[in-house]
Amino acid sequence: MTSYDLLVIGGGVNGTGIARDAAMRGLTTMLVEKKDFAAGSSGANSGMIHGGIRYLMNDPQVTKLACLDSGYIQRIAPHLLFRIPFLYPVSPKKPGEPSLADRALLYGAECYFEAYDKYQPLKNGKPHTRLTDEELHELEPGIVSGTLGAVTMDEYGIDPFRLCALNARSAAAHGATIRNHTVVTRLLREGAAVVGAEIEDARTGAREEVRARAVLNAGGPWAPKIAALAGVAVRIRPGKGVHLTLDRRLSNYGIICKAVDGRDVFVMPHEDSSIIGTTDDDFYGDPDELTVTQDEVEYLLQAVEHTFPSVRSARVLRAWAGVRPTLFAYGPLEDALSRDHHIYDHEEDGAPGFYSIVGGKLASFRAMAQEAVDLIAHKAGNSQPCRTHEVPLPGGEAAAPSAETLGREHTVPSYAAARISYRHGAEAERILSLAEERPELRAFACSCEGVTFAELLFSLREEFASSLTDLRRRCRLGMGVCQGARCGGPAAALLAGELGLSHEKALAEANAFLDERWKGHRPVLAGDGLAQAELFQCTYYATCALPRDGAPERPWR
Amino acid sequence: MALTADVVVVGGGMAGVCASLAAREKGAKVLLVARASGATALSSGAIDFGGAVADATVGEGARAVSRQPGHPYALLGDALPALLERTMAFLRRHLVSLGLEGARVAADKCLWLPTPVGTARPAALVQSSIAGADLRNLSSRPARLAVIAFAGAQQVEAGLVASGLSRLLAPLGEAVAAPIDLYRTREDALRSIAELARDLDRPGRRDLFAASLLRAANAVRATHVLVPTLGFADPAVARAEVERTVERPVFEALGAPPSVPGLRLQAALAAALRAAGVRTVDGIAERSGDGGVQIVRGVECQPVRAGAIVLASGRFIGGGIRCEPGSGLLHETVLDLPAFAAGRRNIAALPSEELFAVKASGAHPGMAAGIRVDAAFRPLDAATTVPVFACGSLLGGFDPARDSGGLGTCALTGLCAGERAAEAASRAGASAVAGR
Amino acid sequence: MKRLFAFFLLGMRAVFLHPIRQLFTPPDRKGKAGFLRSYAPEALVPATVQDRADLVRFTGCVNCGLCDAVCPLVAKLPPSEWRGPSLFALAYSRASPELPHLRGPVALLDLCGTCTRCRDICPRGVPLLDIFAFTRRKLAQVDAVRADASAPAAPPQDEADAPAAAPGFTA
Repeated sequence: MTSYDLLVIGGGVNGTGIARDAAMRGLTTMLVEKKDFAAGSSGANSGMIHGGIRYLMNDPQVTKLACLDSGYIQRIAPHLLFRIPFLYPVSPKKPGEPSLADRALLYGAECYFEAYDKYQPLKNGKPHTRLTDEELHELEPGIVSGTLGAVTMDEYGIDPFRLCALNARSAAAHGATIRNHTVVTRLLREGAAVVGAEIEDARTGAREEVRARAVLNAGGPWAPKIAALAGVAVRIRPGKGVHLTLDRRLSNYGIICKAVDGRDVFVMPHEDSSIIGTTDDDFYGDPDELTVTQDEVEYLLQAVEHTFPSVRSARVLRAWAGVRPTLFAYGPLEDALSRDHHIYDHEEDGAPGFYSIVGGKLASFRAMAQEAVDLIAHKAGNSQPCRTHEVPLPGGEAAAPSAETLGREHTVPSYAAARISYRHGAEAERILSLAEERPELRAFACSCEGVTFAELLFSLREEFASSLTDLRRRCRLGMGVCQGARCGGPAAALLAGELGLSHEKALAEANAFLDERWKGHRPVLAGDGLAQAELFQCTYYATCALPRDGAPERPWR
Repeated sequence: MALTADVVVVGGGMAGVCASLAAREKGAKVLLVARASGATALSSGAIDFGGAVADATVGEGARAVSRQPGHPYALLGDALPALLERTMAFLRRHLVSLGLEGARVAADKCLWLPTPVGTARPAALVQSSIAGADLRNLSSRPARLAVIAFAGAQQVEAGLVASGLSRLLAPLGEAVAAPIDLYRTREDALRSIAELARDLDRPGRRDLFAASLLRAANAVRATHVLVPTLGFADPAVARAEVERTVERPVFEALGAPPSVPGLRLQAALAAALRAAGVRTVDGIAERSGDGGVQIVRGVECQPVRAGAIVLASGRFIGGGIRCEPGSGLLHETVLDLPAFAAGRRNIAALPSEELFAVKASGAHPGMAAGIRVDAAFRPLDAATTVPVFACGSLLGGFDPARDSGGLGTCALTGLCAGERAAEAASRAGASAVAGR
Repeated sequence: MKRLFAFFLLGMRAVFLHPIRQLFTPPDRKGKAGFLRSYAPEALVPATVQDRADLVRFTGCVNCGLCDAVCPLVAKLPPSEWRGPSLFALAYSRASPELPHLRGPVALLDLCGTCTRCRDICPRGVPLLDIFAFTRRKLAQVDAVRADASAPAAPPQDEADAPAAAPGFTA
């Protein structure tokens, strides 16, 4: 039986971050994830590496650390970050009649953002500015007229799927064993102590036992379920958050809008599109069974419409939901819940060797991982320092060559080269060199997001991807305008060829990918989206005759 | 100046063209208004009438789908089998350049053709360059089918197609992927099948292609050859020429959008209109103030005087039906008729499982949205001064992605609507039109 | 208690610190000028009212590929440089900051003459020619902002300075 210093359960940003940190400190580490990296909450958030401006009042130290960590993430994965200037417009409560309170709000916001400026240099951020109504509309004419002005601030966006995958890859490069699509079926006990787990390959059903000196539960919304395997209780207050994706950028700025209930809802550029989010509602269901309701879609659109009326004519590509694994508290409204995190050493609960990490936020994953590994490494007598803030993630080692140069050298469209550079940084060259041996790999598998077959193959070989939905997370396959209407067949063909899948299995993979695309498209079907859905449906189920449930394999016998 | 015609048809896809040709055959003067090529050009080009599951004949399949609630066939009653045969003959007659092959009578079975992912899909009628790939026929003998890959994406896909066809041809036959040595540059890897089809149309290319195919077929000892395309123009001639060199049967594969057979079908429909003397106008048709239709092109607006109107404006892709994102209400776009899916007008409000299944492959009545018509294909809610008929995808009640017939249903309903419109125009409108 | 203290600090900032800072902040670091100065490298250009009216019509593309299948430039240009019109609707017009990477294909629009085949065949009525013009205009604006940022004294580039076709191509 294999034995590890640390077994991490959960492949979200915490789990992968912890696995990386532990492996870099020389702990023998295994990570198991039941689905795929960032398949849960870590992939269903706004994709922001923010500096924690909301903690400025209660705990400026938290803000400082968050900004510092944002700076570190820029250092280790510069290619993945993109700057988002935020606009915070203030409109009078009664249109056309600005009150003293309205003016005070704007002035207060400016002072608040000015206080935040102090920490901006830590993350290479820009200072705030205050804009008059006229200046605001020169910058963004789409904002509703008659504001009192706006205050701006600076934050960063990131591709959260790649962040998690890169953490996992880095962990593997430092010796960790990484298993996605692997479920923990039970924990191994010796007396009271947790000494490992029985794990099951979700694809083959093969089970094995692994021993570990420490088992860490980083299950996010699933953390209570995992804790229950050890007979201990971990309480969270799960909050469902829904986002919408638009087909293109509504604005180049992040815009802070007020929802009908007074909450802040953001519309922000994310890569080539805009995302709108988020809702925050207590969630009592199964985090595996998340669906988006029409009410949630309408709430978000209404919130943005209030500040940015033309959002109503924008094309909504999909709606998606995630669950925040917020720390438990009885009493506060969802929004007022602390985004703090907690690391439990369950020795106190009679389960020595078992730890849980809950709460927190995407932006502070690295610091949280450091804290968790400090605790575990210390117990194991390991005093190696944390280096996750210094050592680059794969692709972050150097600047990527320019898209034009890459495109010219490898005979790929500059669009593909630009997207590959963003997603893979310094590894872009290596990926495109796959197409030098197999020329067909330079073709687009997904033209909307500029995904070449070479990029898919790289992710299959080096990034633990083994399904089309994994490839969607690694390379944005099918995340663009057509939502997978063209790429399902070609990508399934590549997958089958590389993994040696049977035809039946390859089509099942295609169907699973299409189901996942359809899931997000379905709640927002209207307008142009219905034409897209018609093309999607007819391409796959009429032209390609993908097998549906109960259809005979060979129709003519 | 107003345009005049006995019958004005809105929509230039399969349904609109069949309606125009049918009305023309009845002696009507026909004007066809089309904004652009619709979903027909995006089809695989294979014409099926629905219900081909479980190896039913064309007639049995159509009868089976006519029992689906709301399917347009249900309106035809006992006339369906005869209409089916008339439609097949009608299509063969008007689309001579495609050399349509397949079913001749309703008692014939469908062809089962290879798809771009290595499955089989049914077709009652298909272009002659494709028909030979009927997998039922091929599987009855020891065949070794070479799945030819050009370059780029097709090369990646050929393995999947071959593995799928091998399953379908077993136990007697098998399929094997075979790359050709013609398109070998780095740039060629980025070319689509449509681009390569145009390249094959250039002088001298076909011979090079055939020679390359021969080498590829020999290398894998193939008995039959399946190619992604033979070029756009004259597929029948191209096939004969290539077969002479390759010394084996050669067939074309169906393609995913934009497929060469689909584009060819659209071109053949346009040619049929010209041959029949149907006048076509580019533009958007909309309701005019006097209860008829007018044609809008940019800022120009031209009224149309007609004895009857046929709506064949398609569904969501074609733009005949739209659901406004704000209101969520389905409506028809030319005359602004109400449209329905699963009996509901408002589909944006909670797309429940009644309208759209959770799984992509599930049943989606929402995708079969359409307007309501009476047994004569006349919209229930049209308040126009001239008789209106509807056909094709606009009718709703059928979903090409759910075995309920795509192009075939459009052709059949187009034929019906066109004939009825011509009769109505000659009956009621003849004097009015002639009087002008 | 902590919160009270924070409010106190914010109050102090509002009453004293902020007005004093404002007094000593040079005008080019305040307001819109300051904002543009901060974000010059990102070359963020606004979507004008006209742009936004156009954008509504740009969203209809369903990636059916018909326009690429009929575009005559596709056969004339290397596919790595020109894939056809669809990418302009699906990708190039999505985010203006990406345009500097797409200088090649945008420059090739010079070779796109009076042919309207892509627009005419589009089943969704997407105004592809308007999208071409939009990407061209936006790239020129992005370049102008960048030129301003790198050499504040230089006059803004106008559309005539838009990049010409890459050398080595003939129509």
